[in-house]
Amino acid sequence: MTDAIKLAQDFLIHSHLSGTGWGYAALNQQPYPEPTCYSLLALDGTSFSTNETLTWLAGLVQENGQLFLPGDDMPNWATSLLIITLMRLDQLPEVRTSSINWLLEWKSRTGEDTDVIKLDPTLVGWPWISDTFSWVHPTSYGALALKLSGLKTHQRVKEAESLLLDRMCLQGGWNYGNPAVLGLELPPAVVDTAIALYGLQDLPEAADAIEKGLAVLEELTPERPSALALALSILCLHIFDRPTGKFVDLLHKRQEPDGSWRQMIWWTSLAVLALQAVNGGKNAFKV
Amino acid sequence: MPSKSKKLSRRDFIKLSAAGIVGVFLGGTVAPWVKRLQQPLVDVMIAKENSYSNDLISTIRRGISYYSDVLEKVKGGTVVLKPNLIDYDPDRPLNTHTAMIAAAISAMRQLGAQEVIVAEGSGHNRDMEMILEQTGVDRVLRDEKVRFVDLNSDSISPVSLVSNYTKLSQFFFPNTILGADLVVSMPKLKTHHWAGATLSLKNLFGTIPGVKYGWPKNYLHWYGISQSIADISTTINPGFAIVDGIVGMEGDGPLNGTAVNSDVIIMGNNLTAVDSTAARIMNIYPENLSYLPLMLPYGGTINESLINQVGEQIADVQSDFQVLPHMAQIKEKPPLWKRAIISGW
Repeated sequence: MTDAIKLAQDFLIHSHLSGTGWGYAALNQQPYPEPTCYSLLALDGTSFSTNETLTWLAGLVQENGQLFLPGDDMPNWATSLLIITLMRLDQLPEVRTSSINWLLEWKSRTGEDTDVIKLDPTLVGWPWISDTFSWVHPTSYGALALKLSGLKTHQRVKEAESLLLDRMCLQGGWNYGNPAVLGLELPPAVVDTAIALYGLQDLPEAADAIEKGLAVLEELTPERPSALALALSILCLHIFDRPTGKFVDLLHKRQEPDGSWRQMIWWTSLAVLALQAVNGGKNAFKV
Repeated sequence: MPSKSKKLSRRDFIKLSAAGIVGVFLGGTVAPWVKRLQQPLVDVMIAKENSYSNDLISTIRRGISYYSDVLEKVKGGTVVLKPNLIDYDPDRPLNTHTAMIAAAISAMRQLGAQEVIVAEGSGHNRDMEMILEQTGVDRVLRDEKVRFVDLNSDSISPVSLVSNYTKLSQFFFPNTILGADLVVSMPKLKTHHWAGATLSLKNLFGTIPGVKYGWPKNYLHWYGISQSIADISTTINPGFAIVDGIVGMEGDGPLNGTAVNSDVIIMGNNLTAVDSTAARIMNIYPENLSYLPLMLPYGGTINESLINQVGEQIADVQSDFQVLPHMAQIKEKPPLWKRAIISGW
């Protein structure tokens, strides 16, 4: 384990909110599922005791498998990330099963074909929040969660893959999920491109889209090297056995003396996952 | 400086009665409409500025100092500046300029703010660090030692809606916004391919937390963009607006439009009046921007005769902003009946 990983893990452990999980930032005292899941994955194999955090996460999941944000009464997209996390950690099998069942039931809203946007609005993926359209990030995580759960050939996975391919930007790569508006092409973004590729990684028919997506990451990430972009890109490039050295160097340079990346929990935990992957550890997003 | 009060003349009385009838006709309560016709004139400041290198601190200070209620909130208070930092595109003026943000920080501090926070929640791109670094805002924040809060991932609380046009009863808002003594909306002067124009009210969409509503904040779109804008604005009730119109954007805004050297900054404590003035400067009829009339029962002012232009006059800074063909109607003079209903004559 490198010093950078150990330092970052110590930062995460010290930032843990007693009795719950983690907020997005160290200063943020409200715990959320997303940074909590990434942090649990980043601390796997350390001496950190996950029991109370897993209990807190399980408490957010309703009997039917829906995950709610604390204080909220609507199902949240992070259900898929919870499944990915529990699969990787091999924890809470009952919660996992009910959440998978819910994810299979939970469908995005569809629309009618229109010239205004260049996508197929009839395809069903997953939304960020109930009763809305499907977008790249929740759809890709939904597909990945089901693949890791042994449901690679499920119809929901197949349709999610079609949706991701449909939403690809015209030049390659992905943004939040809209290739063009009113006839004008919209550009790809690093974060969405990396996440879309997690969902498509094992689809042979997507070879061309994957190649274009990786090219987007290799070009854009060094130009706009944020902690989030670097961590997600490294994890993605690692899945496809592409060189990551330059990206890893850039990520190291941005680490702060306290071990964090700008005191942001989710960036720090994703950076740990990226560094672990390129140092011989598991890649949390690899099927 | 106090605003000028408007005496209740016979003509006002007639307007008041007409508005009351209209209020009933529209299915709303009469009281808010009556109340708004009793309001004093609203002041909106227009400053001519042709460069981001100008002394913008003095201009913004002058603007804030003009409004005693705003000045009171700034002194010893926590001020949250909410610029428009939608994404990064090196070739287009998408965002509120860094010089405007830096000047607003300095002005607030000089006027006695205890803490100034810059906060934004981009609607399309989760990578706020990238946006801050590439736009140069990050350098400003470091130089000025100002805290930035990503409103997409801040702690959040549910709040009952004041206007409830969306019928959703409540939205979750970031606690940074809810805890501020003064929220300042700092939009870019831009046309918008769905909303017509994106100004100080539309800019508040960025206060909606992505962690709850996603990227884009599509949930609210299903309940109406205009209705959502109004519900957000009436509920968080921002106290001031500073519109960056030194360089604006026309055509396919908010992302793919063309730069316009419009050489203007617009400020005020009534955001509907600020946006109405900004629209007129863009040669757009504010009555045609569907979210503005929704603000009328909640203290918003559209009617030009009820807005006291301070500084420059609209005609002296007006630019003819181009809009996409499907939005052409926002540049057409509304019929008299529409202006009468919306503007109270």
